[in-house]
Amino acid sequence: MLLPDLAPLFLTIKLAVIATLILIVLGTPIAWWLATTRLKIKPLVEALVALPIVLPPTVIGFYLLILLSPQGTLGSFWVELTGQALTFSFSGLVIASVIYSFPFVVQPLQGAFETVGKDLMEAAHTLGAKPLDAFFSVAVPMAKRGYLTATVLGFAHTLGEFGVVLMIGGNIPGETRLISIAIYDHVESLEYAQAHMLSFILISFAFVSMLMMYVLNYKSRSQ
Amino acid sequence: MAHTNTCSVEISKDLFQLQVSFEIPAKGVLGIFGHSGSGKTTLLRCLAGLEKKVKGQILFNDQIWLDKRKSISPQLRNIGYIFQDSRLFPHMTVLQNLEYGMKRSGSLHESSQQSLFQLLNIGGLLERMPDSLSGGEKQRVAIARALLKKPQMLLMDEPMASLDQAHKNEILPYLERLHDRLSIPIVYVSHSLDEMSRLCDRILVLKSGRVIFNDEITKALSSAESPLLKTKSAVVVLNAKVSHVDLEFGLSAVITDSGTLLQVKGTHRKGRRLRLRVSAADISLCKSKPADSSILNILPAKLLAVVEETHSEVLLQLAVNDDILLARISKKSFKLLELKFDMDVFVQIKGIILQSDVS
Repeated sequence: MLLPDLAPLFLTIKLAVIATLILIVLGTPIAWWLATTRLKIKPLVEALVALPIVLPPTVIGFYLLILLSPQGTLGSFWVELTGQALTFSFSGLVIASVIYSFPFVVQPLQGAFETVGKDLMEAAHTLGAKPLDAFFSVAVPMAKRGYLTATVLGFAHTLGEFGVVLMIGGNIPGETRLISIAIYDHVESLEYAQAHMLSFILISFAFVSMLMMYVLNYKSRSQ
Repeated sequence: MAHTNTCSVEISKDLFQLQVSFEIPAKGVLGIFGHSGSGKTTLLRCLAGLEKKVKGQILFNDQIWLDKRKSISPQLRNIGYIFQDSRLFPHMTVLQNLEYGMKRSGSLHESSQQSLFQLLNIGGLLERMPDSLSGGEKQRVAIARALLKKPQMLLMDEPMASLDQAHKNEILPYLERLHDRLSIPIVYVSHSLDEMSRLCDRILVLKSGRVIFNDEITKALSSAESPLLKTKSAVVVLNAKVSHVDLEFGLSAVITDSGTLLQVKGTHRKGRRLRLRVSAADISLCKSKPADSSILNILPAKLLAVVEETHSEVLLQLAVNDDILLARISKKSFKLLELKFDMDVFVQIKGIILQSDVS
């Protein structure tokens, strides 16, 4: 039996790890802002953040292609900065993944921050904690279940992406050839055994990460 | 050194407007009394810096907390705030909660820590999580947490409102002890006259966002202008000193600040200062001095005024020397005795509620 090339699997995991890290860092302030703001533009921002949930990945991919291409706003800036194009590159995939998985990280965080509420933050301030200090010592640890959910969802959602990758990443081995693209290729060439194997790895991975999330969630709740 | 501590603030919230100006005492308990919606909590939050849209001026210990140009944020005001609902951090143990403020104010003193744990009786709770504590325990921990950071002012927002009577009775003695030990001002918000008369040295009464009364506790509870008088639980407070101890009968003779002699239960150290509370319901009147009464405290008094009249009862204001007492008697007795203003009568005091040292 022919073993499938495992490089796409590792590339996918690398992408998911980097994208999730960026998502947590970027998502935290936005989720906090959404959870605490009383400005009237809040629903507008919420709707924008939620867009990737309902849009077909090809639509996101299409606009990202325009935005990231060497002629696009972000793409041309990137070319000037690094001398390389964003489209059909790993960096481009990271940017695309962050946008594509954004709601899956921001929404659980926002929900978690909303349950922290302003009361405990006020208590922290009266005890001498500056805003950032209070945020990291009270809000973040209290939102740890939200962080767990956000991490797992952001990671898993990035793992499974296909449409966006196809539009802007293409199929360059070691650069943009992710596991979902590899599976598609194998099926196209009727290499069902290899497709099976990669698909099975992906299913196991997804299942284990979901299971981990629910087990940890259950544990922290029953503490 | 004497500081002038003043608070003069204005804030509008929805349909409500708070506009108050008062002096913050250098020490002792200032009670903020009022019905719900009178602005008590808002006022306390203004003092703490938790209200954003407040205007005015707050000066405390030579620091400007609030003026036209700036508002110092709560973490820089060095206050202790006790919330109605404790607000302990649920993800930390009791000890971690206690250390939270200490670490941030750099006041890690072993000795004062131990005595405070003892005072509030929380030494056995340190490893517990807040969720496993009773309401009274939570509030005691919250008080310790606020005090451990060595605040310059303690703000208490109805610390007992969320507790049932049993837990209130459990925590009140701790608050009374605090009152005696602390040398910082405490601002205590409540709508319970009972708590006020037990803890406060001065009372400020709020109504619809305005100060309608502000005076010492003895006056606040006894003077005819005071809005606190016309309540069911009318009570007066007298400050007194132990002058003689009667070991044989387990009594102490005390003399109030205006020179009235009274006998109270218990043997107290001579010279000790006590706060006495006398409820209007515990006083009866006679026109002549009863010769054979079981009541120990029978004093000549002058009838000053009828403070309140209901269908069946009258609330009378009486002067014993310069001490003012209130008596609630039935309207029928009032008529039968033909009591008149300025009349000399005798008051019989059935019960005196004692409280520990007055600072």
